[in-house]
Amino acid sequence: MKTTTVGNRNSCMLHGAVQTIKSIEGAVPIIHSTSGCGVQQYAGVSGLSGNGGSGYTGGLGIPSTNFLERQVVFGGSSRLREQLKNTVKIKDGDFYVVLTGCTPELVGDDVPAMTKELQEQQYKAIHISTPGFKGSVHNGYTAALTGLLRQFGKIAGTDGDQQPARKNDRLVNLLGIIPEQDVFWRGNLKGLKDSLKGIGADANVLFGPEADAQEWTTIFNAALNVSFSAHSLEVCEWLESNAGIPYVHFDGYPVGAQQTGELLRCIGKQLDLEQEKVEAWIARKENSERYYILQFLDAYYKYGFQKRFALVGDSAAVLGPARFLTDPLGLLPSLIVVTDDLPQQVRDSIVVQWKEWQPDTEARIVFESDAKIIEELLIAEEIELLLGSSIERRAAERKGIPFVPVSFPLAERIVLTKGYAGFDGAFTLLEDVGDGILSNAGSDRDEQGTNPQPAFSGIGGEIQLQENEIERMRV
Amino acid sequence: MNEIRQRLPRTREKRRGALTAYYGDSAALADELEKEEPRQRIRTYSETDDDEVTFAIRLLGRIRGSVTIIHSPPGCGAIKLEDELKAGGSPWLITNIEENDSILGADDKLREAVDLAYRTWRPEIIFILATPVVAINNDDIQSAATEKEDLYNIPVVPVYAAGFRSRTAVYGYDLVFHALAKYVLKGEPGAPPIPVVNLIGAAGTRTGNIITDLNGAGISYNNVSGSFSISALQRSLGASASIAIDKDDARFLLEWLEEAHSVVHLEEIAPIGLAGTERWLLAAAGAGGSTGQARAYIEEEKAAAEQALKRLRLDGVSVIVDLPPEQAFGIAEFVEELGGVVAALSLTHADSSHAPRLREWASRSNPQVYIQPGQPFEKINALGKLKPALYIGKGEAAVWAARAGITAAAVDSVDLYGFRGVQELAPLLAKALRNPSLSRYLSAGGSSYRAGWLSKSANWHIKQEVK
Repeated sequence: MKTTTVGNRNSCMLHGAVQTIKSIEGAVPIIHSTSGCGVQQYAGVSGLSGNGGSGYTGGLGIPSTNFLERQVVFGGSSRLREQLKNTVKIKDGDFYVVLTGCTPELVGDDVPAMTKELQEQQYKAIHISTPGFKGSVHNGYTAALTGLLRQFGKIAGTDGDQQPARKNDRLVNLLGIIPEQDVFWRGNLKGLKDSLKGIGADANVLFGPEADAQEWTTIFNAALNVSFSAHSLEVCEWLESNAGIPYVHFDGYPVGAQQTGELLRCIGKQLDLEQEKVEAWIARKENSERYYILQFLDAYYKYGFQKRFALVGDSAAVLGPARFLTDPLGLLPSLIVVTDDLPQQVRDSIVVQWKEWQPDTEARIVFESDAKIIEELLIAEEIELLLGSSIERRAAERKGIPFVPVSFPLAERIVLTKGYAGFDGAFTLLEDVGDGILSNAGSDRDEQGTNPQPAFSGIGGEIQLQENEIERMRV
Repeated sequence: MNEIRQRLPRTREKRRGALTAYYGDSAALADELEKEEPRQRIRTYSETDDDEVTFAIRLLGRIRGSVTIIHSPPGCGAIKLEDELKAGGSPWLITNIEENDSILGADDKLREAVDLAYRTWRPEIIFILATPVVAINNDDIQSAATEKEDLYNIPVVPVYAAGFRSRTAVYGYDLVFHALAKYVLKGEPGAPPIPVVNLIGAAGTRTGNIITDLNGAGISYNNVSGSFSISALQRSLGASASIAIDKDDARFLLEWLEEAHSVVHLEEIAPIGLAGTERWLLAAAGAGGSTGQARAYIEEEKAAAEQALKRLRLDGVSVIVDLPPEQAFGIAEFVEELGGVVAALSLTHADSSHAPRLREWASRSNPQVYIQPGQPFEKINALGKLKPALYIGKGEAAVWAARAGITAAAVDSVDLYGFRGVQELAPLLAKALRNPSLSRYLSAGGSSYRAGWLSKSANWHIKQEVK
């Protein structure tokens, strides 16, 4: 049973599905739920993802049945039928995806039947069950992707007449970067796509402006799936068993030449690419990275960049940056807080892999999403630099240490193209960390060297963690 | 107000015949709202919008010394996260109801949440906000609240939001004020009246400018606006009168104070624009006992504002104002003060309390009135036909107006109220008209709405409700 938390940064399954579907060009999400569900996603997820906005079809423009009491009592199927019939006349889209929230799921509406009626009128439409009580935004991403793939024939217009996909030996699908929950998703997808281009591989990034129009039509033609998050493993497994596409999995996206090089060598081997070409591309990017790090070196020493740091955020978004800051940059990881809900075996695997990579590390990896517990952990930790979400800013202020906002929710920055993934993403991370350290260099502190701001949600004094709360912090 | 004994207040639809869909002119709408039972309308296509849960969450966040337990699946806390990070606010917990909880109930989880809230923050009051799942599976919130209230000796107050009971999101404010009136605010027999006027606001109300004016005019007030305390609310029971910055938002509290505690409420429109601010301040001064000082202050501020507005005129500019009713009426009047022409009013809802204002507009220019909470598809359609020179609304809707090629100004970034509000709002409108490049650029980018829809009438999907 998921416990009560102070705050919640992982939103719900419906929201994850909405933001996943609306990030696909030509897709129109239709919410079958109460009216507030779409606004909650818009304000509480899109708006906190670097101040993301409505875009083409999001925001207040998302079709929604706006469930009322009469639909709770009598059922909402006929209201959905009416909404679907009119949505295709009003909203311009290539295909329509009905996403159900908590209320119609509890009422028991026959959503597949209503969606089928639309399909029978030759519209491309599918239904995905995404009640908020079934999980987080991450589960919504998984459900949306698997739902799309399972019903792919219906949105591709080839239902019942599918030809075996012809493989493209150089094509990979990139999975696990969750639109909006990863604040830097657009930049990260671009960074990974650009990095792959250098070894002669093509990437389907599937979401956002970097996704070419034909990407969704070639998803089954890919020779390899690359997973950057535990939340894309189910999708990869489905594609392996149903489309024969193997996959490789990484705990988080790569940052910088070392990690991206590892990724490209792995993909190059899987795709049987020319090894010399792969190594030449990696070497070129390593030289580029060395150039920029040399440019940055004076500031590194002048401002004391070699700090003990903590990093808070989704597993996919924190592990790569943490590794880059540790090696090659030489900072000292102290505490890494992973905020997404992960199965125990994935947690164990993350810890084992980190320890294999840094056998002598003193860093602790903690899996926790409760804002209060995270804040107390950060306050207790001897750190000199904090990277995290807007929620963690207050902990940094209390400690009087530099803060770099890098994970969801991110309220105080505008993020459009910025990303940390791939070769060039490392420079963006360096710039952001540098800004955080420099802007803190002259900040006011009291005589104790701290800045006593209130903690998360106005928490004042020191609160002892209760036994059961400590038990939740599995390392 | 007998309904205070009920678990829930009546919806705005039932109390005042609130409409959430309408297309017509001001006179026709006033006619209809003056009837006992206006004809309810429904949409056969709709887009997402705020609901009672989102409004209740925002208002609860403004109550100092409180903790809110959002008893819900995880997504219902998203708006609270946004509210806290962007506007500050009181602490909160979320019970993260899962599938098995939705079937078996989550009463135990709720009790643990109250314990955690008390242990962590030692609040003055704990609110338990119900949500759609809880409304359907019928968790016994009341018994958990009573049990914990006895244990901790602080109010533990259930707020029964369902997300589907009313089409007016502002009903969320009613739910919160009803809960406070029912469980918390108690009059002290024989307590002497306090010679102040209650200043009442709700979640989104900015208060800085109007408080400056109240101080300048020498009006004594009890502040129950912006971020307010339970003790300020308690004091409001003994005040000589109440005046709201936005009386639509605060309507439940205003009426309850009057009916249950004889604190009359002043039916002044929002203090927006020169005339609006003057009327509002004089009304407050009448109740707060300093009319002489207020008049002197008003003359001085008006003269300064009029001087500043000389170069910010909207002479002949056609404008559509798209906001909640009180703000819309106030800004529309200010547009006319600046010489602009109000082509249409777009409201989130309208009910019988708005009939006098609509009647007044009917006798002036009788503008078109659209009632469309959210609903960009209707806005874009209507804007395409009306083609005003300027759109005034909130940011989340202004983006759609701009995409339709209409020069847009969003009022989110300014404090609209009082004399200083005049000097913030007028430059905002002037700047939008001075450089309309963005809307011109956006209109070339295509629309997510089909041409077929845009060629239909904007009320195509509004139908009479069948009872």
